[in-house]
Formats: sequence, structure tokens, C-alpha cells
Amino acid sequence: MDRYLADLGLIAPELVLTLLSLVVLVWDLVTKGRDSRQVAYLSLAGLGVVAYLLLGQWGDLAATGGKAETVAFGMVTIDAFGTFFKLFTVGSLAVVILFVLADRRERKHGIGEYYFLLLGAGIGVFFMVSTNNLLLLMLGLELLSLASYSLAGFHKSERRSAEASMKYVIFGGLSAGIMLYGISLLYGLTGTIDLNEMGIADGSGWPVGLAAQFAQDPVPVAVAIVLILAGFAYKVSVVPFHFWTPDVYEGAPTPVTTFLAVASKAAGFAVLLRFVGALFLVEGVDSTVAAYGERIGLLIAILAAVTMTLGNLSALRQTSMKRMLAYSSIAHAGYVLMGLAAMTPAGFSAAMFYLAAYYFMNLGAFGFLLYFEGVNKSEDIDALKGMGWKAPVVSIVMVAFLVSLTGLPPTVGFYGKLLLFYEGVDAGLGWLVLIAALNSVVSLFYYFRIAKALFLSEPAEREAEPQPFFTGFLALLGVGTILFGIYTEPLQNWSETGTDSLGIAEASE
Amino acid sequence: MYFDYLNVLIFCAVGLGFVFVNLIIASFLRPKRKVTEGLETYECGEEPIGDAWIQFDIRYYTVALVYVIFAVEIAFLFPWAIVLGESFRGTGAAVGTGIGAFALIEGIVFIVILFLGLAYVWAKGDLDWVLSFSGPAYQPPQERARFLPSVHELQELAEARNDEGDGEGDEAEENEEAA
Repeated sequence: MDRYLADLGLIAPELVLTLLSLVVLVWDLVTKGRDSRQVAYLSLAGLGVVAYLLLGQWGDLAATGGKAETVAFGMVTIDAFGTFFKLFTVGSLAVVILFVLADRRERKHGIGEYYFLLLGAGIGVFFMVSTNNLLLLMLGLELLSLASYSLAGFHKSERRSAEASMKYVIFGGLSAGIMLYGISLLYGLTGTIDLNEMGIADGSGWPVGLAAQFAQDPVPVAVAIVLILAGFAYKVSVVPFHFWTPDVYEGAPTPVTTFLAVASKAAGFAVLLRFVGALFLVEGVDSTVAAYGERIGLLIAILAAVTMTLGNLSALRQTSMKRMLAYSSIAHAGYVLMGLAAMTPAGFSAAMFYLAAYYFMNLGAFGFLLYFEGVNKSEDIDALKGMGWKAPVVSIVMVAFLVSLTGLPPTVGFYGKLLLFYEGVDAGLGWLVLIAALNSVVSLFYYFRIAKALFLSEPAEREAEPQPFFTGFLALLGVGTILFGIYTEPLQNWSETGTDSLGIAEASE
Repeated sequence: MYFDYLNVLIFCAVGLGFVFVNLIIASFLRPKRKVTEGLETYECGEEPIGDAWIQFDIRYYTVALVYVIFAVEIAFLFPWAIVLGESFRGTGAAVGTGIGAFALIEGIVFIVILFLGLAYVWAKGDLDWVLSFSGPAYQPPQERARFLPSVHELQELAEARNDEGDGEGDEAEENEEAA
């Protein structure tokens, strides 16, 4: 029995999070949903414990050079890469829960399930970012998806919300099916569901591995990998799998949109990085497989170019800020893909850095949206006209987020983009970097429409009721956005430790 | 190739052929009596009322979902119970792995979590048949004792509606004639 229990310490954060979600559900049932704020406070306290455990784990992993340890017969891989994303997930879950508390359109009673579903989605993220096993990866992804579907339709009596949920379920179900089909093909071809074994095996024994299949007939393998990539592309809303994004983001309650745009998307990227890294770039990978990986890199580079261009051009025409942020998140997915397309360890850590920056600036931007939804009862950019003078702190902080989203100094978004551009050029993707730079210029236009509406219009007639707690909280995120843009050391070190733990070989070509 | 895909093709062909061959044989053998009862939709021995192409009550799906959860639980617990039994009896593949007590606790945790789901559905009143989404959030059963109309009442309602429809049609015709 001991050998089954020995590993459990390593997945303590996951266990605590699971227990927390169950306690939250029971608490809500026992109190009959009388005061859902209590449930929120309980969730926040529990997330604090999880964060503490994760920080301890991060310390241990960083001390051993980020070496990976496996739990439960190799199903779960605990490494610095996964812990990096888990920490940010916990952080964004806490922020989203605070958003729910601050949401003026939300009821105060009988919404205990909101927190339960958020925590459930968190469990899904935790498992999907820390596994090399395709089966557990799929399970984590589905747990995240199922919770997201119900969260998107949380205001079930609202037509938009119900429509968002329906669209999300249909798109999600289809793409999960496509991805599972790819996984089953890959399993049938290689004889294993462990990503590392697939890449490393040379075909002389069992499992067969990818190399032998490439030598025999590359078409089935290519089909399988493209199908799986399509599943990931849906999750991170890469063109041409982005159609659900604007509608779902617009219809879902704003805190849920925040969760989908930030935590869910970053988790999708984490899995994508791990998938590509473990299959094509890992130390000791077969040379045939590595050569094929470069072609996948080119495919990803093309997708990145199309995604960022389409996202930015569509965002230009939006009048609703929520929809604009949805298209902007598509564009950002394109930028992150650049780091992946470089197919180098440095490119991967640039992508991780950008994702960390993305957490800060997008949480902030959506928080601003939520703030003014409560004030204006509208998400139109026009409704913001002249409100900058009425709520100066929030609006100034928003300008910082917008500067960061555009990628201008001195913000974390600027440094993230700089790293991505540098690694892109380094990997010989100059054309992609050029497209990305042009796109950044385009994005300047629509991001600063908000700043213009806030400050360069006549001061508005109506008053914005002060919300000191919410304002202070957004200001904190704003300080983070600027601070990490100036002191880039810590974030850079963390993302490098994370990438190191993936065991990607330096200069694979 | 590590697997002969011809097997799969033959399997599919035989499976497809099986259906049609049986239907053709049956069409020669069966008696041909086209009475009304024989042509009606089979509904578990009940007399069918109206069309099947109507909007079903969403509550069917709530109950169906709860059922599916527990059906899957049973499917999972069979192999678990066998491993557990072998481990405690000291036979089979589970010997020497020491998995017995661990698996027992794990299984109990699994069942408790699932039971929590049932308790949730129960406490929220989703197992009670009469519950409206648009009405007040939740009331104890005795306060909202309302019964579904019986089949006969439904039929009478439908007939009444048909009569009304006819009446309107007649009026329209009369108006046209008058014009």
C-alpha cells in the first residue's frame, strides 16, 4: 500500500483543489445557497492553500533543476513547466472569483455552483498541464471543457448566454471528437499513449514509436498529428478553428469570459507546447521524427500569421468592447504561436513569458470591462466616452493594460513580444516577425480607440459610483503589468526553468 | 502495416449484408396483414398518443443524465470489485501488488464523490417531476403540489383546440363568401 501512497504527496495541490471543490459544493447545499459570498470566501481561502503548496513544490523542483517526477505509474508528470502554469491558473481563478464578487449584474444568492464549476475547471487544467499521457490529457481537457460549457450558459434565462453555451458545446464536442480520433490513430500506429515514448522509440521493439512509422508511410502519422493539433487549435482559438470565440466570449458572463480567455486558453497553450516539445524536440528524439517536427513548425508558423492577421483585422471593426477583446485574444494566440513555431527551447520560454504577460494584461482588461459594464450597463465602446474623467484610476490603469496589449514599453507585454520577435528571427522566421510587427501597428489603432473614448472626449454627464475595492484590485494588476515589464528577470527565470524541465534538446537541427 | 485492415472491411460488409439479408428473408416469410394496429408506432405496449415529433420535456434529460452517471459507475466498479476480490482472496494477477486496501479506499472515495452528485441533484429538487425553470427558484414539495394533466385531459384539450381551429377556419370562409 505504501508504494501507492508515496507519490500522493506530489499531487497534493491537485488533491486539495479536488477536496476544496467538493467542500464548496456541500457547503452551498447545506446553507441552501443563502449567501454565496461565503462560498466565494471559502474558495479563495482554499486557493490560497493550493497556491502555498504549489509554491513549495516550485521551490523543490527549481532546486533540483526542474527535473520531472512521475506519479501514478507515469500518468502524471510533475515538473516545473506544469507548476508554472498551475500557479498562474490558481492566480487567475482567484481573480475570476473576485470578479464574480464584484460583478454588479450577478445575484448574491444561490450561485454557489459558479465557484464549484470554476474550481472543477481548475482541476481539469491542473491535470492537463502535468501529463505526458494522451489519455489523462484528454480527460483533463474534457473536465475543463464540460465546466466551461455550463459556465458559459450560467445565466440560463438570458438568451445570449444560452446561445453561447450551445455554440460552445457543439464546437467543443466536434473538436474533442476530432482530437480523440487523432489520438486513437496515433495509439494504433505507435502502440503507446505516452508522448515521450512515441518520440524516442526507434522502432526496433515495443512500443513501435513514430520513427518506424515515418520510415514506412508518413501519411497516417501526419493525419493523426494534424487532427490532434486541430483539437488544440480549437481550444486556443487559432484560425480556422476560431469561429466560436467571439460569440461565446460575448454571450458568457464577463467573469466566465475572463476565465475562458485567460486560464483556459493558457492551459491549451501549455498542452500544445508540451505535446510538440515531447514529440519532436525532446532529448534523444529520433532524427526522422525531429526532421518532421520542422515541417510541423512551418505549419504552425503559417497558422500563426493567419491567426494574428485575421484577429487584428476583425477587431478593428467591433463596436462592442467584449467582442473586440475576443478578437484581440485570437490575435494574441497568433503571437504566442510564433514562439512555438521557432521550435527551439528559447522560443518555448519566450512563449511561456508571453503567456505570463498575457495573464496580467488580459485579466486587467477584462476587469476594466466588468467595471464599466456595472457602471454603463453596456459594453459598447461608445458608452465609455468621457468616462475617463469620472473614474480616473481605473481608466489610467486600463491605459497601462492597453499599452501592454499593444506591446509598447515599459510593460510586460512589450518585453514578451520582444522576446518572441527575437526568437522568431533567430529561428529564421523573419517573414513571420515582419507580419507580427505590422499586426502590432494595426492593433494600436483599435486598442487606443478605448483610450481615446475615455480621455479625449468631453467629460460625461453621468457619474461613476466609486468602487474602491475593485479599483484597488485592478490597480494592483496594473502595477504588476508595469513592474514585470521593467524587472523582467524573475518571469524570465521562471519560464526558462519551466522550459528546462521539458527536457528539450538545445539546437535540435 | 501492423494490422490487416481487410479484416475490418470484411467485417463491415458482413455486418451490412446481415441486416438486408434478414429483412429480405423476413419479407418472404412474414404474413402480410395491414391492419391499423400493426402500422402504429410501438411505444412499449402503450397506445401511442399523437406524434413523436414534439418537444420533449427537458426533465427527461436530467433524469437520463443522472442515470448515465450511475451506469458508468457500475461499469467502472465491476473490474474494481474483481481486482479487489482477487487481492483479498490471494488469487489472480493482483497477488503481491498490495493494491487491496488502497483500491478499497479509492473505490469508496469514488463512490462518495458520485453520491455527492446524487445528493446535489436530489437537494436541488431535480428528481421531483414538477419543477419549473421560470418560476420561483425552489419550493418544498408540498407547497407546489400540482399534478400533470392525465392522458384523457390532454386528449380533451387537444380536441377542444382542434374544434376551435375548425371554427376559425369556417369563419374565415364565411367572410370570404360575404366579400
